[in-house]
Amino acid sequence: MKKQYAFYIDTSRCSGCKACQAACNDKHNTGNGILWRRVYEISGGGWIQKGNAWIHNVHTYNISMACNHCEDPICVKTCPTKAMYKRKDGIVLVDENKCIGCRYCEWACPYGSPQYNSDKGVMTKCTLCYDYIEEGKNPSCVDACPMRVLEFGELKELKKKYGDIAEIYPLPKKEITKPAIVINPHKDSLKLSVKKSVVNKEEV
Amino acid sequence: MFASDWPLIIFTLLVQMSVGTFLFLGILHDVSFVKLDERIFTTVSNSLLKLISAILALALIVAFFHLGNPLNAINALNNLESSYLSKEILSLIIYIVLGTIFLLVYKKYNTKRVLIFFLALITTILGLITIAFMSSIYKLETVPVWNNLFTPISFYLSVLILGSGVIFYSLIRIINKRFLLSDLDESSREKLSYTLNFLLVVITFFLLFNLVLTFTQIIFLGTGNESLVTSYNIMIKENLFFVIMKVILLVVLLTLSFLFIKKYRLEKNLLSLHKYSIFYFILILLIELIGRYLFYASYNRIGV
Repeated sequence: MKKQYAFYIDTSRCSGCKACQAACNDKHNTGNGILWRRVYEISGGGWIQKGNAWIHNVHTYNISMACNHCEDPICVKTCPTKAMYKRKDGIVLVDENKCIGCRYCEWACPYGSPQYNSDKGVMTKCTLCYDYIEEGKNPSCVDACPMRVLEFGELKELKKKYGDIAEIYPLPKKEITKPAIVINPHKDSLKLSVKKSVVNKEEV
Repeated sequence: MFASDWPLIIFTLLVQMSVGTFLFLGILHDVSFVKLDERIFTTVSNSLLKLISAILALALIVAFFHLGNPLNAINALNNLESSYLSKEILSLIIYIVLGTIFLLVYKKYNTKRVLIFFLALITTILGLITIAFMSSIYKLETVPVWNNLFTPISFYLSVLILGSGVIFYSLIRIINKRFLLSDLDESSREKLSYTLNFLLVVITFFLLFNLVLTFTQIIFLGTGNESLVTSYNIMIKENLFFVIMKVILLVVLLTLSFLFIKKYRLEKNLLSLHKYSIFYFILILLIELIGRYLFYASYNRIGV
């Protein structure tokens, strides 16, 4: 198995504080409106009748999402310029000198990773802080998280440690792009029969 | 929908219009029962080949407005292995080059009929292949609203409607402008009207198909998975005005088409329609414009 860096996300702990998001913006100076890491709030449930009683199954959980540096990245496949490329260590990057800013990758990526920088006219995305990694440090989002939701490492090591769940609502089936993530699912995310949706989108 | 999608709306429609016009021009030249007289065809084709060239030139210019960094545009051909966008651009370039060769041969070596026929055929096929690649761009597993048969069907339908629409309008206009109707004998006028009637029947059939397709697609979206239902809501809740406009315009256009066809049945003469043809053509353009706007506006991908 080739080297593949990955994130571990413990959604059972995430409080939605967005420190990861802020740390990412600080580190990369991503620009106004561009969020390489975003925290989504998922909510679901309602009142249900059980016998003569009405009980609720209302729940909310958060998921912190950046580029998952997929093993089969759809952005790399669709990019007409090969500006999107995958390094030997599995990190997916965009070469701004090649990018034409057609935004095709933005249409395709189910994780909202490639983001358009209108000042530069090109796509930008999470770099997994490869410069930090080369210095032996963690990506900025990982160290910024006060709840220790995020962890970084090699995918096979993370899978060994935490299992191989890579999809919970609202993420797509992992077979589509084979995302390099390992998720510890929030207990409510497993209630598949309960209708959920991403809420408060304006706050992302 | 991004603001940068507007150039795509115009670009896709213009390319489809050019392919359709070239296709129907070929039909009027080679299909015996609607074939035009050589003199009339030469006049019509001279004008329409110029128009097709202008449409394609405009399409290329508009395409650059979609790009955030047009200076890197040459890189768009880098990923022919897996990107349908690269494939579409290459195919479009070959289509334009073949079209240019066809134009040169048609102008300079008009007597070489076999060569001209062969070049026209290859150019038409390349145009249709370009549309196939164009619709494949939207074959994204992560975008269910586009990743289905409605996309290629509606793209090819646009080729047929726009192509037959341009030819119908141009034929009436050119005949009325370039020829004195008194110059044309009775049989020429009858033959022309027959060809125009054929085009009208073709347009009417495709417009009816478009109307059915519009409703079928709305039902498909409304009864689909979560992502499709989101697209349905975008269509019905946020863009209801445009959906209604499209349906109304389709009904108006179909009514006009049936009236024109009735006129042909009664009078065997459609050349006098030139006063209405511009209105008819503008309606066709509006329907296609709204349809393509709704296509991009309904975008919704799975995931976050």
